[in-house]
Amino acid sequence: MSDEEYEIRPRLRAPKTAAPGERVTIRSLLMHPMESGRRKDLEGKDIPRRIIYSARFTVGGEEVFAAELSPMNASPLYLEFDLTIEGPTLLEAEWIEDGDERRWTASTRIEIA
Amino acid sequence: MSDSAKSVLTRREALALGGAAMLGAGLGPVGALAREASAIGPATAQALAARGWSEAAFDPRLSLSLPDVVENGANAPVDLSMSDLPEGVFVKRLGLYAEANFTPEIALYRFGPATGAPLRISVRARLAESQTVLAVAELSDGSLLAADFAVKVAIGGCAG
Repeated sequence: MSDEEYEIRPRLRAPKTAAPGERVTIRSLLMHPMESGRRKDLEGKDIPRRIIYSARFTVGGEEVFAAELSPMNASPLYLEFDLTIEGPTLLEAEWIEDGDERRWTASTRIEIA
Repeated sequence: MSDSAKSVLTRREALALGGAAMLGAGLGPVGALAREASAIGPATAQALAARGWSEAAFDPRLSLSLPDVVENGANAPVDLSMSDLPEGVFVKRLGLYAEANFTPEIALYRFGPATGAPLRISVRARLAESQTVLAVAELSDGSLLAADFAVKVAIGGCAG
């Protein structure tokens, strides 16, 4: 893993346990620059666009929450949502950057208490 | 940007005027939303039309909230929620709009039954300047709901 990829590492936070039917809060953070492509550096040169355009959260391959993102989302990229837990849950997240070549994933498990 | 994009009538003022024709003239053809809110500028109206959402109507069940004053427009906390949904109905898609931004559609969110009924999300947006932010929710039964929030931005987070 390069230093840069280490910097951008994703975080996905959820309670370790939940009761059946309970709603839990999922918090995600990607330390990504979300560079809009409309800024200039100190020398007046354009800073190239670099945006996470898709963030997707799935359980057992089924999408539970997703975001199609414009450059108008803040850096770092923060997304929080509530999820109803029915049983033991493996939540998987994937963030995809412009061009589809770079993506980051994270997962977390919620057990039934 | 045209004058109509900067319209500053509040919904209350618009209702007090009671002139749908007058509003329509100032706001363009964006259906139910245009008749109810002055905050729908042309860029947002176009983005809503592209989604097929021009007929969304303001509904208090959908809640959009930000701090009254956002200190840093580069990172504005936005909370969205919706409850009191009919049995079996969930929020399917939700769009977030800021007319004064370079790109008016901040994001489009998709949900499933486990996240869309009730719905609660919290995100961080960039806001170029003080403006009225708009959210439109599409329910699984096809209904379209809207909510807005007037926010003051101390330092704009343009860069977009």
